[in-house]
Amino acid sequence: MWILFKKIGRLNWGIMLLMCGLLVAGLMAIYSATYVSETAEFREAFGKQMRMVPIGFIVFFIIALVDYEFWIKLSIPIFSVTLVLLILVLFFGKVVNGARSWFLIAGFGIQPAEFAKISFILLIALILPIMKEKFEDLPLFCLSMGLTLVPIFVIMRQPDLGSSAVFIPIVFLSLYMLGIKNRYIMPFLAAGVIGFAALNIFGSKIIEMEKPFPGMKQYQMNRIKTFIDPELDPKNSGWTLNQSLIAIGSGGFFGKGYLQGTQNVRGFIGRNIAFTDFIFAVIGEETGFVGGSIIIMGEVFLVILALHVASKSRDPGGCMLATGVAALFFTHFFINIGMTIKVVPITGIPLPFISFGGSFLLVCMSGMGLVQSVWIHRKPLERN
Amino acid sequence: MLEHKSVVPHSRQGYFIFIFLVAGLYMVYRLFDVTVQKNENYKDKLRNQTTIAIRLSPARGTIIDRNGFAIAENRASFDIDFYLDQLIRDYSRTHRGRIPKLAVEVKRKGRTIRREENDIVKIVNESVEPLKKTLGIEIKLDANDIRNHYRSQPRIPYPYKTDIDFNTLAQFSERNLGIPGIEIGARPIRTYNLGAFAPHIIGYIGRAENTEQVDEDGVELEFVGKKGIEEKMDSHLQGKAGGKILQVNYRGYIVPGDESEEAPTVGNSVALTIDARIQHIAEDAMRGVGRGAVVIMDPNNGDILAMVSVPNFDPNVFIPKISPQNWKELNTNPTAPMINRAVSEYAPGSIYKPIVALAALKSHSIRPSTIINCSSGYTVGNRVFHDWYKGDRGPITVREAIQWSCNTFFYPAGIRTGIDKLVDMARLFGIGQPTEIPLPEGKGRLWSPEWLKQNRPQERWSEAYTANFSIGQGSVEVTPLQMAVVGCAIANGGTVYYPGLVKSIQSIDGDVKATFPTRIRNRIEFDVADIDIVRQGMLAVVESGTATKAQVPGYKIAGKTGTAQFKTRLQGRLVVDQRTWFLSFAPYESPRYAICVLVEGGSSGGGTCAPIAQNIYARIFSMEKGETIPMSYLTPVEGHFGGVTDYVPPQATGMTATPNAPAAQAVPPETTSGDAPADTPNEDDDRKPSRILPRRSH
Repeated sequence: MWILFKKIGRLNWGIMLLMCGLLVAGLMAIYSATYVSETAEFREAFGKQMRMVPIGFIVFFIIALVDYEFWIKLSIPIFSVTLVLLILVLFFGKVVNGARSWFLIAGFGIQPAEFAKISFILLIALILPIMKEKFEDLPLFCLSMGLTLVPIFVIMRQPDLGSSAVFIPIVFLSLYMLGIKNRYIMPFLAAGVIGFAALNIFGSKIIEMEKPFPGMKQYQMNRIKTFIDPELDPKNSGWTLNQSLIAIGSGGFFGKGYLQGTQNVRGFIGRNIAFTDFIFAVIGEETGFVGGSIIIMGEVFLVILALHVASKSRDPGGCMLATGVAALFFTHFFINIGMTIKVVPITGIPLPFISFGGSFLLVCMSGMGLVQSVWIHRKPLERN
Repeated sequence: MLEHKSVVPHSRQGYFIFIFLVAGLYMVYRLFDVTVQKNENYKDKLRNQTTIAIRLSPARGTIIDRNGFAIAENRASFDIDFYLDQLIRDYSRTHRGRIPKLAVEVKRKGRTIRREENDIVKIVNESVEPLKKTLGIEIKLDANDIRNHYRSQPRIPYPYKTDIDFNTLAQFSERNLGIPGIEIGARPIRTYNLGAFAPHIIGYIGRAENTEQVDEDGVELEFVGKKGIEEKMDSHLQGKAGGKILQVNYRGYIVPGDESEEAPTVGNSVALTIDARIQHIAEDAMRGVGRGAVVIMDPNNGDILAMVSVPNFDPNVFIPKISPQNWKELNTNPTAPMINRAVSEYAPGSIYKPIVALAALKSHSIRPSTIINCSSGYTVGNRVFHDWYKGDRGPITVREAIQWSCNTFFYPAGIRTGIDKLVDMARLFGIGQPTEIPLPEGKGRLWSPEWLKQNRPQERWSEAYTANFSIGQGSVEVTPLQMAVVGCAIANGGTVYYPGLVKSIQSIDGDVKATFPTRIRNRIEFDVADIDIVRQGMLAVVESGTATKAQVPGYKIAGKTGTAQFKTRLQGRLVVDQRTWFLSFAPYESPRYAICVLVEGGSSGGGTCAPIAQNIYARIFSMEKGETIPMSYLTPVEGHFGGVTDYVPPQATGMTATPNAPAAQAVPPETTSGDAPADTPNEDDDRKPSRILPRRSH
């Protein structure tokens, strides 16, 4: 029994604090985003999420207090099951927001794609260190990319572009932390940064372009244009981004106050996205720059702490687990908040610990459980 | 405890910790940019999409007579309004955000710019489709009107149908059509209680034509005064528009929220000096007259009690908007119903003689007892100036000269006085100067050597001109209002007033905001005997002279008739269109009324105008005794050209008459004038004009 207390005492309390803080903020935001909705489904969201939190904590502690070796060993069966589920969902899934991504089992909705993320991290933690021992960098890089394409390909079929995109940063960051040579990582990073900068610097030039980029269709070009300036088509493709910007922008420094936002109440931010993918717009409108910054920095420090845990892990497997979770969270946070304030184009993925969604909450909690497990078991437990 | 070796080679996590930190800070920077730096911008956008500002129409102040009788006031009008902004939102919602656009060319700074605007006509047309079906009402939309309204005043609801009848109102209210943006609104609307009652004074209102017409707070005006008192006193009459801010959701439906409302206010009332009862009497008296004017004033303070001009119009046709046919009719009618004849310029003829008599008396050129032989002709230089009366009246005083309007008395009297003194006296009476009432007016023309020098430098003033001037001939022009002022001055012994028209400005609660006290232009000092002899002459005019038809039993009325010959071109023919006058005051002992009657195309002052004055006096006096005047709604008086006779060219001399502009323009054109002998037809006599002068004078 003492070992259990010893382990609990060893929890990374910084991560615990941030996680709990974000959870509370998320619950509050979900309530605010749904309390006036005419639709029962949306109004019940807060209650549902509240009930998911204890389940999440149980999962979290189970995962955290068991040595992660155990979970890594289970990775192949876990990944196989999720892969099967991912394929089954393509045939038997329920369509939500245009994507066939849900299983409905006894009233509970399950998104296999979310679980695929965590099981993929487990798989990487098992496979990458072994491959690193056996192969040179180039085959290692190619093999891991090939492996990544499997879940990407399946999830793209739903289609869920956002979720499938998450796998790439996970594998990149893992390879990097594993020690692959810079030349395999840096060009991609540089390309991303340059592309990102170009979009911001040459945005106005792009809007003025009449013809699309070579190899691009006109509608794709239009999507890029409306991303650069949502006012170009405020009623259609620019609507959500425009309304999100109006919500956050009108919030000002301190925000309008909790439950005082009008953008979601009046339906300018769609009811179905105000408590999920666009929950940051609600937070921004009601708590302004101050609240928004706290959420952003909370997420950033959570990711940084996870990366720190990775660097302190006792073996490459633990390192891979923490790294993968850090990459997962960072991608989600960056894309989700980024799309509400026009940093990245709109892709529907949720904000860790904040957005509504049972499956995703469980994924986040188990992810944090893995990180804690890596932290707890980074060195032998001794009786003092 | 040993620090174990890191499994991560080269401490690689450090770089990514840095990258994550930078990414987070960049997000914070973006958030700062959106929430703080662009805050105002997004707040505006939020306000634009969540609120609708609705204007609440103010009520216009009333126009009342001196006793508080409302001539112009407001009643409730039920209108079907199109809130264009909301119709567009609703259209956008039901058409998946697609709004029909229209490319228009806009001229700006000399350049033609093509730009897109919402095809508001199409949107409205499709929006009213259900309205047509359920109500079964024919809806005709004036496309240009809507478009113009949308461009110039998008915030003011477009009044599709104003003043709908009760049936439509009931039908509309019964069926909630659920079209956001089509609503019934009750708003105050102007109404002129007595119809064609003093329309030239009251004027009318109309929609503001552009957004530049704003009140002192910069709020757009919906209606503005366009003519008359409505126009001149617009700033007092305008109430302040109120406003209402409504909250809407993303579909444009109004949601309960913090509404803010600022109630509109009622404008101030303008109290006129007009006595509505006397005005009504005068309007009645002038109904049969094709073209003419009456001005009734109080000689004791210069208040205008009534001012009538016929033909006239019903200002209610301008509310809320005059139809194009009506507008065209009013403006092309040859009898010119829009012209205010009471302040238009006419040749005075013999009603000018009292001024000459007073000038002669004041300069002591003649005395009340001076006797001049009133023959049938008077020679000035080498020309003979004739009296209109062919016979010889013998030696008479100024009293008889006025009584009989004897030209051959006034020729020598005027010449003896001298043109300078005659002009001075005319000037003291305000001839040739504006009366400064708050309406557009003709200032008349004081014919003088000075004027001749400036306007006809080729002519030289001679005694013959003075002789013509002495009987109100030549180029003198006066307005009926100016002559009424003269009548007042003679009645009150020499006080020349600026006529009063607006008495005070009052708030809706009756608090007096401003008063317009009596203003005296001149106090002319006359010897009592001098002014008395003129007044006695005028009394004799009515009792046994040229205006016996003005007598009212039991009252002493003093007056002076006048008939000025005038030629005009009517439908291509040159016709004689006499200006007949009767200037009077009563009761003789202590005058309370001065009345100036002018009729265009009358037969003579005594024959045409004196009976009108008689009718007015008789009814005023019985009103004073307690008879009530029925204040009925008046239909417009139709104008006509009755009394106009074909012009027969004079035989004797080679002088030709200049072709004159039509009378419809109400600017009496230049007539031939000068040192030719006076014409001499008889007053009340159909003898044809025979000599040279186009105007005859009695």
